[in-house]
Amino acid sequence: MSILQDVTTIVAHQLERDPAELSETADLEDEGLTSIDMIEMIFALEDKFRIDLQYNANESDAQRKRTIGDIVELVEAAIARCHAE
Amino acid sequence: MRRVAITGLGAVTPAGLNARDSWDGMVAGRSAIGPLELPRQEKITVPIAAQVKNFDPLLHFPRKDAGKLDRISQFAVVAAREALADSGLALTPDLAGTAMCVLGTAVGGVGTMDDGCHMIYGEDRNRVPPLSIPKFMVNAAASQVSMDLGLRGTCFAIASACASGTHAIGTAFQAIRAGAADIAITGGAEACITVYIVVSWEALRVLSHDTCRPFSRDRSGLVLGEGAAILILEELEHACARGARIYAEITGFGANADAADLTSPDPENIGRVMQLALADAGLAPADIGYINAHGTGTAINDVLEAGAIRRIFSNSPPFVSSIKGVVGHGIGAAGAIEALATALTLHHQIIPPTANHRAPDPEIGLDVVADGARRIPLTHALTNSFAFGGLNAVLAMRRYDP
Repeated sequence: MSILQDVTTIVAHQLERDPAELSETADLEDEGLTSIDMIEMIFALEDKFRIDLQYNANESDAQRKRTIGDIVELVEAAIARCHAE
Repeated sequence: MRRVAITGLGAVTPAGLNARDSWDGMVAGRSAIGPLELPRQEKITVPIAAQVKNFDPLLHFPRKDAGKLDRISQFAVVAAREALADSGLALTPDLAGTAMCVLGTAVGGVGTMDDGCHMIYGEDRNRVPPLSIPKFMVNAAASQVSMDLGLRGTCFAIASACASGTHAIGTAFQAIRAGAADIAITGGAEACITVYIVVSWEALRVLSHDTCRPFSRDRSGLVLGEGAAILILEELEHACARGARIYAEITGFGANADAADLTSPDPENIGRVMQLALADAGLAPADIGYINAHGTGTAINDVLEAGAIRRIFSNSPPFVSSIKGVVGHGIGAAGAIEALATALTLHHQIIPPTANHRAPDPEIGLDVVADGARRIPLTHALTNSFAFGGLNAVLAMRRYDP
């Protein structure tokens, strides 16, 4: 499975939705994702990929993580950091 | 209507080991946030906290007794002894027989619990110390204060997360006003900087790795604190009859629940709870000269609190500051430390500054007292607390003018 598929599966699980209904560019807040969903999802992603995600709810960057595509980028960057170390 | 005076103060905070030193630290804007130091801390990534440093329980308790008290109860008892002595009250059997003791804490003696769990899961032992339960129970601090001072009136703990101290003081205030007691020993205590609790806060992604900068544009989250603050509340005529020094009067208490989000305050409702406190005190918004804000330094709290203040105060809000830049977030003790600060603000007519505030945030739109304490005539003030679980509490206080 690709990272996109994995992320979509985890997002869909958090939203209790069918992954097929979710597009890479949809605004997750519009899809009903709350701030607590986001934190739980970050935790699930870290477990799944065995990575540390740079995510702080206080940083304005956090406000820009709005789509599945944004989260895939976050995961890819964390995986790249792991390989670099 | 019976009136309620604050006649004694005691504190153990990251800023100082008594009320005076704590207040001096707040007025100086001297941040007590520093490197986090804890046994078994290797799994913690956040580098900072506002810890009570150099607190030696053996200065206050014989060795055998110190071991019976979790750190939270040690803080509470030391602050309560200071507050009672500061009040000058002589606890006659009659007075002690009805003296209330209501303390707020979010989690109780979690240091004891953390140590016990480490013995079982970490060290694979089958036993924990025999007094673990009475040390970590949520009412341990309230009970220890009651036992230490011989208070025999109504005594219990109040748990409402970050609003616990404020709810406790508000409850004691209502009881004295209603005639259920003449004096109350009230406030809050917390000592929850343990590995499990810090890692749990990290999972919420709201801790700052920098420092606590309430209302600043570059704020980066909250910093965990600990400590205790105790207030002696006394029916006003009782206080006047014995010539007591009165720091301030408590004039109103407002409390409500959002019944909505688990962690994010409801913007409408946190405005409403300020209105409830104002109405209880018989005040209009324009009467208020200062708000000691909840001001945690998280992105979301500060913007929602500021918006609610602007709305309730019709876009001409009073001065606002947050002492969390100095003492961090004392969780269940926070509301009590802030009530103590608000009483001393009115008593000394000095607003403590918001330490670590560097740049105004256009989204805040408040007159945040940032660069140094401000000396200004003040009559009425509010102090705000908003807790996880949507539990809000606000106290109104008045400068005592005989």
